[in-house]
Amino acid sequence: MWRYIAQRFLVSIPVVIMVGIITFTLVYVGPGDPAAIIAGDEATPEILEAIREDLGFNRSFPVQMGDWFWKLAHGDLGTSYFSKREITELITPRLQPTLSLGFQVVVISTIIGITTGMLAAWKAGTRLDRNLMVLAVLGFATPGFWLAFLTIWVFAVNLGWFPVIGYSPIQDGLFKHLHSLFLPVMVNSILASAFISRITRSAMLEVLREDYIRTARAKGASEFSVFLRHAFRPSAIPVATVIGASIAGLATGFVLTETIFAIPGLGRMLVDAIVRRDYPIIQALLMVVAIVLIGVNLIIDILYAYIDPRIRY
Amino acid sequence: MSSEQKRLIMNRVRYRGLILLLIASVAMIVTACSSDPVVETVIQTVIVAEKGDTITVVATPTATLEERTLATADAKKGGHLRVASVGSVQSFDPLWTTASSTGNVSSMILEGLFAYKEDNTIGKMLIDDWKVSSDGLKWTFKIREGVEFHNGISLTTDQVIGTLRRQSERAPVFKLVWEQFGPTSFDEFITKDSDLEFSMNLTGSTGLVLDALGPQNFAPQMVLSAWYSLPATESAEGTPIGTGPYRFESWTPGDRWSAIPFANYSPSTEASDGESGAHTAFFDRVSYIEIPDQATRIAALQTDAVDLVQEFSQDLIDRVKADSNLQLIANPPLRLLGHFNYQIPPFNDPEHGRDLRRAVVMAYDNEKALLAAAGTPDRINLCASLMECGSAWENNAGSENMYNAKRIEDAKKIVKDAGYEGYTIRLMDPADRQPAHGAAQVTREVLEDIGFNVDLRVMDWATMVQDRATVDRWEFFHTWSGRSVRIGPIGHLRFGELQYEAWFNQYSDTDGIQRKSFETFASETDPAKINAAMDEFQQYFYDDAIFLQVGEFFSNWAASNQIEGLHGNPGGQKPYDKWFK
Repeated sequence: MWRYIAQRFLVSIPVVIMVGIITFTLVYVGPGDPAAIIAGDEATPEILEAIREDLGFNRSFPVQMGDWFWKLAHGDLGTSYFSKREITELITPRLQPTLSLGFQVVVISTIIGITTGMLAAWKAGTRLDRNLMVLAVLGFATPGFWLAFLTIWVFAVNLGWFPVIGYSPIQDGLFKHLHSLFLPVMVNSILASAFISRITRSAMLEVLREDYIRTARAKGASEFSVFLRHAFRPSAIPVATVIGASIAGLATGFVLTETIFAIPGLGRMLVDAIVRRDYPIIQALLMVVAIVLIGVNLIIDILYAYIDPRIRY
Repeated sequence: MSSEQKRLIMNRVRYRGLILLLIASVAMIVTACSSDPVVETVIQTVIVAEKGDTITVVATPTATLEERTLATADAKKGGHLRVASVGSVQSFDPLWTTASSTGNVSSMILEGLFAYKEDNTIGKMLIDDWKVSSDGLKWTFKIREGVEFHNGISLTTDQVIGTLRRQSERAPVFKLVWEQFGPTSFDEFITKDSDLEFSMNLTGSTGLVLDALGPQNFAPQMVLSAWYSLPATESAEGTPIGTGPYRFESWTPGDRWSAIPFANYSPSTEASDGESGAHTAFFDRVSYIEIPDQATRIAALQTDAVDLVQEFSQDLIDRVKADSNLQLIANPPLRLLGHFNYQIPPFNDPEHGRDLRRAVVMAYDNEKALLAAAGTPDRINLCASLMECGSAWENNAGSENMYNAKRIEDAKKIVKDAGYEGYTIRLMDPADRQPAHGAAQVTREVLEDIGFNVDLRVMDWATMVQDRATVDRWEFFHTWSGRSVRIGPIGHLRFGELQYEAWFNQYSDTDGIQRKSFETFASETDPAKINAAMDEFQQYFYDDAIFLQVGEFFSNWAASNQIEGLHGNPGGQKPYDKWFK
């Protein structure tokens, strides 16, 4: 197993490098000029040129990319064009809101998604199954921004149960922290659990049609045992995959959620950076997210081997 | 399906997430909204608070300074003012950027030599007094004694001259006075007489000396050597240290920054008058909270998470009006404009360019464009005057049959006779900026109606900012700006001397009439002659169709009705001299 993990880790390194090259190239060729934004309407060509020189835009593409990779290899994510601060310094305070939001959403959506998916599979064809799947379809067909505004209007403005804004860090109290993130967690969990629920149901139904399930039932195993011991574990492979894919979806979904709920996380930081064409921040954040996703994939690969011992790489 | 097949399929699903992320990132780069357009000096404000169906005037432009001074006597200190700010603050250096999020720093932490009074005249701020030589060529200024920066360093002429030097290339009025009425060398132009006195030495007389040192874009606001020794093009690092009534307290990047009263604040000996005079920091703390979404800003105000909201969209006005705990604030009008590209055909055509520009102006449906930009009739002002409607500069010379004239057939004939029928106009449309985006839709119709083809290029603001700097990528685009009363056309970005050198427009002024008018404005001190020059210039503006003057539109602020001291003149929305009931 350790050899397998090491292999997977080593394979991830060229993937990270490729992501870095693609990210840098896309940002480089994308439209927008931070120097023009900084310069303002009154800028003369001389001022614009001086800003470009100051930001290092006058260097060739390979030189800029090489410089970026060299710094990255040394743990230096660069400096923001606008705030002139180290990006690691800017990212650090933003990690907690995003990670906490992500952790809560993954846990809650997994619990809700798997539970409802299993229930639907168990009661396949019944009214309960149909109702749950209608809710699931509604869940992933509902636009995230609309659901976010709806929850704000209902639970914050009208009922006053939860705050609209005002992220509270964990160190200020766990309850306060959870309370401040309740609405964004709810919105993202609804969207993510709908997907997990659908996949869990279909995976369970597929497994439940297998011969060995019929055999288990014929041997007199209880439905509970058939479901949890015999059916759920084989179904867990696609479910684990979907949870991993959901995390990728969350990474982009948080851009929207953090913007609407004014959460000072990485998603909003990315939007602000794109708006200003603050290239070092965009590149750094995309690299961070890519590395997180590669890490999630690595974990899922390991989970595969644990869930299904037949899987060996 | 074998487990191996399943694994392969699942692998595809997983890596799809990574690919989706990259695609989403590129899409966001292309479509995301962008930085704030330049906000020029704001002068005239109208504030009306509406509670439910009953309109209550909280403080009108007609409320006198004396009345407000009396009200201030009953004001109490304390409380935490929470302001939902526009944009994410990236730099605390307002000498480097005009982004409105950074402009909040200017509101209470930094101070200039002069500031606007409520009547829009120039008032003293850090200047104590000044004298002028008999020939009007040497102006000697004395700064206030005993003024301290927030770190305890005393204000001297070293900081004043250093700050003026840093801003000399960017502050438009200062630059104009230096270039047209000053010696070549900055060291000869501004000289230190003592720790508290400095002089401005001119080679020709001008009535713009105080304006050159006063409020304007990139205004010289006093900073310490760590900031003023930087090049004008480089942003200062760190947090701001000024002489204002509030001092910087803390910053949580991406979330909020705050300021608290400066205990050793040395107020002016003159009474508070607009942005000038002695200010009082009534609040114990002022926080600027970043709330990017406009609907969330209003929801935060309704749930008492913030006390003041800087800007929100028209469709949220009804929510504010319906809430009896809120007051609606109409901001000073903004000016919607359309720019021709003077570098390429058709608008630079030596024979027909002028006629084609006039054709666009005379055919234009200004009212429709303003409505598309601002939403409702009560948020627009059909204003043909180049300078402020309601100000001393207002006039309509040259606008008859040109402004909101909708002369489609006349314009069509001009385009056809010029041989440009069917010529493709690349119209840039920044879809993330409603005023420019709305106007672009109307412009497209007008251009097509008069015989042009239109290549509507939908993009985000940041892309447009880049593309307009590239001469051959566009023929027309819309933007907007604030207004300027006191310094008239000289201080107006669109007419400023810098326009000739600026990279996005480069109006040619081939006959020199604009420059001649500006020289009159700058050198005259007689108001009658200045107004006559304005009439002449306004006529010329429409004759030459320098750009498309669409009109004025209003943006909105909203506030808790627990805030007292808001008023409609300069300084009316700044955090000083305001307090909670």
